[in-house]
Amino acid sequence: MYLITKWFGTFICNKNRIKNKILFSKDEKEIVKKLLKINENKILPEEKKIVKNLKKIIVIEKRLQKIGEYKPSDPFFKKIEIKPEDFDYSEDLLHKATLLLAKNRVKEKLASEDLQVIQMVNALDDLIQTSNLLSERVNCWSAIPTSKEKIQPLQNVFSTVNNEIKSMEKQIDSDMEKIAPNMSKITGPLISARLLSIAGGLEKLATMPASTIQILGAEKAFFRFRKEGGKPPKHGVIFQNPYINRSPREIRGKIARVLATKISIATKADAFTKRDISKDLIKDLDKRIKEIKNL
Amino acid sequence: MKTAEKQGIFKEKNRIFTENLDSCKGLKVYNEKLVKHKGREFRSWNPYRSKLAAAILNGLNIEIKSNSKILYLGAATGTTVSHISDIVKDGSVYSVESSPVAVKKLIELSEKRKNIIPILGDANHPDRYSFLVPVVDLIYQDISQRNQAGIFISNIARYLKRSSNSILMVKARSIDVALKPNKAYNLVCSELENSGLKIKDKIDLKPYEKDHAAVIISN
Ligand SMILES: C[S@@+](CC[C@H](N)C(=O)[O-])C[C@H]1O[C@@H](n2cnc3c(N)ncnc32)[C@H](O)[C@@H]1O
Repeated sequence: MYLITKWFGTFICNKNRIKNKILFSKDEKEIVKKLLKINENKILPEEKKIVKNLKKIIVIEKRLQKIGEYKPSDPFFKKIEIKPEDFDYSEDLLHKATLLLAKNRVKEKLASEDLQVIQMVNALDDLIQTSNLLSERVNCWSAIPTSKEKIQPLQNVFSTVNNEIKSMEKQIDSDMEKIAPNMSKITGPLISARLLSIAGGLEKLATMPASTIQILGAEKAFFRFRKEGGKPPKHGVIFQNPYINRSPREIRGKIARVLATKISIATKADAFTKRDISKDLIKDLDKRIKEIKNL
Repeated sequence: MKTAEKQGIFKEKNRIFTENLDSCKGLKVYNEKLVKHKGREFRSWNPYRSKLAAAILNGLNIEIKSNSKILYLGAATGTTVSHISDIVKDGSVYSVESSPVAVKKLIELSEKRKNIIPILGDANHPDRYSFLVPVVDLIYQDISQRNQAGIFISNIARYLKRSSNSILMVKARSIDVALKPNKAYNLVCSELENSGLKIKDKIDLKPYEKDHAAVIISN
């Protein structure tokens, strides 16, 4: 007996004949729910049900090896054709269901890609901190008369860490250019990665107001201001953008506000519409900054 | 336009075209040219953008019927897939691609082209899309990975109808950078033959694509 699952149902076959079947609902959303489970390597309740009390089940998917013997190259699977139209399932339904399935899975995959970036940003910060510590130690140690061999191992680690920093930055750059191309063009991939990391993901960042984006990374200063008064912080992570930190102090706040607005628009495109709007944004940003400087 | 048609592929001088699907009239997929002729709309098929077009211009002779079912491995954003979709207007192109970013574009394309079934998946694991893909008339693979022959063989074993053809686009440098392209192609061909496939043709993609060849097999 062979167990075969298609997008529209699960079947028990024997010598070119379908012996038993459980068909899925004809609602594309219901179908997608099942297909997502299959993609997660789960066994469907329908599959468990249909093999109940049957012996010697042969399966074509590794996923099903718990309920049958896995024989991917059994020629039977090519001989038997289970056609959706024979059961009144249309190609159109398959098309609709696979579109929905692909959309779902792409979204999931990309979401996990931004989780990767968050880890990389954290790892980068750890490496930078480590590098600073080691640099300090190496300097102190070298200041007193020391034989080369003694200090060499530490220096090796120091240079390994520094190389790792460079390669981590490169990886973050290339990942961010894929995940958030608009934002990366406006404020650089690394600052973008830090913003994404603090926000906890691209979609979260994309739903934040510009005023929040402007101070992301300056939360400590912001809470201090709320508690103790004084001046509110004008900018967080985005301060590292040369547009801001190369500008005269008095106009930095204004530029930060404009930049944050553009970043907010850019992330919305990256997370939702996926359109490349970076050229227009950059043009507009340059114009606004010129205006501010000429005031 | 004077066109000589062969199974959905239209030739004029040294250019080839496919006829745009009715559902996509006026729409371009990449920067191809749209040409109107006697009320029909044709899309120029750029051999510098699509290796299949390059192979056809270099003499690839293969039958693709309008109702064929095709398994396409390494669909990317769908440049070549879109032309195949024009050709198999009553068939289907099951398009497998592993990069989610590329699949996003492929999904957009599939919204307008009902015969494209987009699949986010890894061609190394034909198991994982067996619930979507039936036995097909042709497998087309364009994946520049070292184990491309192995991927091709396992998908053929699983999905290719008996006595059918398949096309593998080989990038010499992804087989072995140190090897001369011809040696790399031969290496791939002997791996295919060892698994019981017959090599029908080998077409260099020069001048459109450097160090690439199309290998045509039958099972
Ligand atoms: C050279 S491109 C294909 C171009 C496409 N055939 C065209 O002409 O429009 C190769 C594609 O294969 C994809 N790829 C690489 N390894 C893969 C795998 N194991 N499974 C599926 N796709 C893969 C890559 O993401 C890339 O998009």
